[in-house]
Amino acid sequence: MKQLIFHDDHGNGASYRLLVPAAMTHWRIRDFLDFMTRTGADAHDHGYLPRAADPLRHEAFRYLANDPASTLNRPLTYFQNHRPLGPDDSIDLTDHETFVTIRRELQADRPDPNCVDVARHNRRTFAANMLVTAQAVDAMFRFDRYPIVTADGRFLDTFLHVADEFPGNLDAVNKLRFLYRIAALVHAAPFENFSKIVTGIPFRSGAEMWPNMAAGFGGICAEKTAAVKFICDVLNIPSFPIVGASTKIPDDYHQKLRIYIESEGACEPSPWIQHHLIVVEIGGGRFLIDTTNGNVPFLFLNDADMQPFLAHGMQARMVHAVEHLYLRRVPNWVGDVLLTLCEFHVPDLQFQYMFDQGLGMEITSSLYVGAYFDWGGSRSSLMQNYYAVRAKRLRLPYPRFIHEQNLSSVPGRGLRERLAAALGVLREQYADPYYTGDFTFVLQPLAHFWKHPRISRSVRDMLWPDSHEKAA
Amino acid sequence: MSLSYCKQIPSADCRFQPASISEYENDPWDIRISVDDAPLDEAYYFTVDNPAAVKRPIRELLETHALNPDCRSQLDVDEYPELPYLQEELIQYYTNHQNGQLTLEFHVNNNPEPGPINIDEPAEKFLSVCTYHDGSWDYRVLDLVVHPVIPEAGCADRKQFRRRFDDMFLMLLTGYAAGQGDEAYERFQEAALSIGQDNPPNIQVSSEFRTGLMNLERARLVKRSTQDSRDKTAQRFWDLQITEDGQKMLADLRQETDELIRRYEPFASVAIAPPALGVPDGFDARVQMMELDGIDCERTILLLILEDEKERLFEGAAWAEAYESFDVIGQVRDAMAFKTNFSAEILDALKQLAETDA
Repeated sequence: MKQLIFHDDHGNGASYRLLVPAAMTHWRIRDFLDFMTRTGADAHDHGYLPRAADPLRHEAFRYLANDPASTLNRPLTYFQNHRPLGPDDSIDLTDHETFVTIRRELQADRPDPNCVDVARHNRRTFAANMLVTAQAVDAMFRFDRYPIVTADGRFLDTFLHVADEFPGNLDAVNKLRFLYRIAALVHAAPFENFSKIVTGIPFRSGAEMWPNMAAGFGGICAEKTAAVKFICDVLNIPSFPIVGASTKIPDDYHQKLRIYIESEGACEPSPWIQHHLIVVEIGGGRFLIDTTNGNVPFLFLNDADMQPFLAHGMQARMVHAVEHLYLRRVPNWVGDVLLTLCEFHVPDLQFQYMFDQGLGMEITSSLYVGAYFDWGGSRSSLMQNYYAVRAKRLRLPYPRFIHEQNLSSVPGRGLRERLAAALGVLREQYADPYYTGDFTFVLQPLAHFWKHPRISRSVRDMLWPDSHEKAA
Repeated sequence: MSLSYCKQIPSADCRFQPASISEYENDPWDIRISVDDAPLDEAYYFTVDNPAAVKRPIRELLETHALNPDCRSQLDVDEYPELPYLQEELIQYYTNHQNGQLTLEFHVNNNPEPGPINIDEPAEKFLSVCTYHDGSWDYRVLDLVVHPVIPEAGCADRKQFRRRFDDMFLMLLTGYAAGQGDEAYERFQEAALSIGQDNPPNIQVSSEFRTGLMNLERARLVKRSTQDSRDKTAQRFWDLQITEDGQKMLADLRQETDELIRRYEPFASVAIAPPALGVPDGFDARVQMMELDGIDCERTILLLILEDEKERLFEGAAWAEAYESFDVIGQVRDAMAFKTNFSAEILDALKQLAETDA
C-alpha cells in the first residue's frame, strides 16, 4: 500500500494518513470527498480500496472534512504541488508517498462556537468504530475482576454490552462502579507527552485516547478528561466541564472565549486555561473527576465534597513548584470549544506542553523527564544549573542530563529507547530555522508527594458497602 | 550529619522563637506538618483554639488534635479542601511509627539546632511565628517536619541477607543469562568464569561471586564442563551448565513466583475506608497480607523484586554490580518499612474481596 498524507496547513499542522493500493495512480477529488462521507466499513462496502491508517484518527479527519464548522473551521480546500484541486481534478498518486495540503476557503463565513458539539461527534465516532474502541476499553477494564452486573443478574463482559445495557438495565451502583473504574483507568494511564511527540499528533480526541492508553501510554489533563467524556457521551451520561487557571477565571470568561473564536484568535481569551476536569451526573448524584495523574491526586468527589474545591481551587505540584489553580464551572460549549481548539487549531501543541508549559515528556510520582534546547557551552551550564538548583532547593537527587553521547547510560531499556525515539523526532520536527543546537533530556527523580486519592466517603460507601460493614 | 529544615512560605516570614512570641500567648495557634522536603504550601495544618495547649507535649497534641481522626470536623475544609486527605495520609505514617514499623523523625522547621526533637517535650519550646508580608496572617505555629527513616542495612545484616538468599539470587541470575540467547550467555560465562584479572571490559567479578558460584557447584545446581574446542585466546577453560537439579530449582522458583504474584497482586493498591481493591494510588497492602499468611516476607519480597526488575538487575553488565552490592536488600527493607498497618478486620475484608473477585 502507498501512503496518501494530508497535511493541515491552516489548522494545527496535523497530518492524516490514508493507505491506497500500489496500483492506484490517481483519485478524483469528487470520489475522495464521497469516500470521506462514509465510515470505514461503509466505504469498503461501496468498493473503495483506500483505507485509513488509523481508524480513529481518520474519524477526526472526517469530522474536519465533512463538518468543518463543528471544528471551528471554514470549509476545506485541497492542494497538491501548490495547485488547487477542484471536484473534477484528481490527486496524483504515482509516488510511494503523496502529500496533499489542506487549506481553508477564506471567503466562507467565520466559525460559530454554537456549531461545536463534541458529544455528537463522540457518539458518531463510536458508532463508526465500535469494535476498535470497545476492544481498547475492554483490554484495560478487566470485566472479570471488576464485574458490572445488570438488574437481572447478568455479568457484562464488554463495553459494547455496557453501552447496550447502561440506559435501562444497570442500577445506580453498577453505573457508578463502571464510571469509577473508567476514571481510575484513565488516571492510572501515565501523564505524558511522549506518545504525541513521536507520532506527531498534537492532541488526541477522547476516542483516540483509549487505544493509546491500552497501548500503555496516556496524555495530559485535557486529553484524559476527553477520554472520560467520550465514555460519558457514548453512554449518554450528562457531564459538564470544569476548567482551572492560576489566576481567577472571570464570570464573563465564556463571553471572552466567544469573542476569541469569532475574532479567529485576534483577541486573546483571558486567562489561559491550564486545567480541565469533568463533572458527571449519575444515579442522581454529581461527581467531580480529575484523572490527570502526574502527581495530581485522583479526585472522585461527590457534590458536597467538590464544593470547597470549586470555591477555593486546588493545589498542584507536578515537579518543583506548588501551583494554586482556581476552578470554575463553565457551560458545555466552552469545554467543547477548548477541546476542539486543542485538537484542530493550536499549532505544535505537543511542543507547547513539553517546553513552554514545562510538562516535559513524562511525569510520574518518582521521575520527571523533561527536555531543553541545548546549544552547548554556557547554555549547557546554565540549564544544568537551573535544574540542579531547583532540585537542591527541594533536596531532590541531582538530576541526570542525557544527550546523544551518553544516551546509553540511561538505566532501563524502555526509557532509553523512548528517549532515543524522541530525540530523533524532536530534531526532525522542531522546525525552527534559527535553532541549530540539540536537545538535552533531564531526568529528575522526584519524592515527597502526597499520594492518597481523594474519594468521597459516600462514593466508597456506595461502591463497597459490604466491605464497609465488615470493617465496621 | 543531622538534618535541618529551613523551609519558607513565599510572601511570609517564619521565625523560630522570636522575642515577640509572648505577644501571641492568648491567640489560637497552628500545628503545621510537612513531609520531609515537600514545600510548606502544601503542608497539613490544624488550628488549636486553646492557647494554653502549647504547654502540652507534642506527642499528646498530635494524638488528641492534629492526627486524631475524630477531630476531622475541626479542619478548615472550606478554605483548604485537601486537609482531610492529608490528615489520613499522616495518620498512616504515624501509626506505622508507633508500631515500630517505620521510624519517623520529627524536626522543627527553622530550628537553629539541627536534628530531630523529642516529641515528649512541650510544644511551646519549639514554636515559631509566621507573619505574612501583606498582614493577612500573623500567628504562632508548631512547624513540624516529619522525616521517615528507613534503616540502612548494616554490614552484618547484609552478610546475613546474602547468606540466606545467595543461591537463589545466583541461580536466577544464571537462569536469566542462559535464557537470553547464546551470545548473551557467552558474555556472561566469560565474566563469570574468567580467570584472575582477565575479566572482560566493564565487568568486574568479585571474589564473593566466585565463592557463590562454587557453592552452587557444590550443591550440584550448576557444573563446569571443559570446552570442546578450547581456543587459546579464550578467557576461560570451562562452560557453565545448569544441571537437572538446577533446572528443577529454577522451575520451582518460577512456579512459586507466579503463584505469589497471583495471590498478592490484588492487594497492591487498596483502600481501607471501606476496604476496596484496585483503587488508584491506594495503599500497598501486599507485605501485610504476606505476614498475615505467615510466609517468609523477606524471601517473598525478594522473589517479587527479582521478577519485576530482572532486566535492570541482570541485563548486560549490570548483574556483576547488582550481585556485589546486593543493594536489593534496601528495596526489601523499604517494602518492610513502608508496609501498611491495617486492622485484622480490614485485612479480613480485603481478603474476602479478593476471594470474591477470584
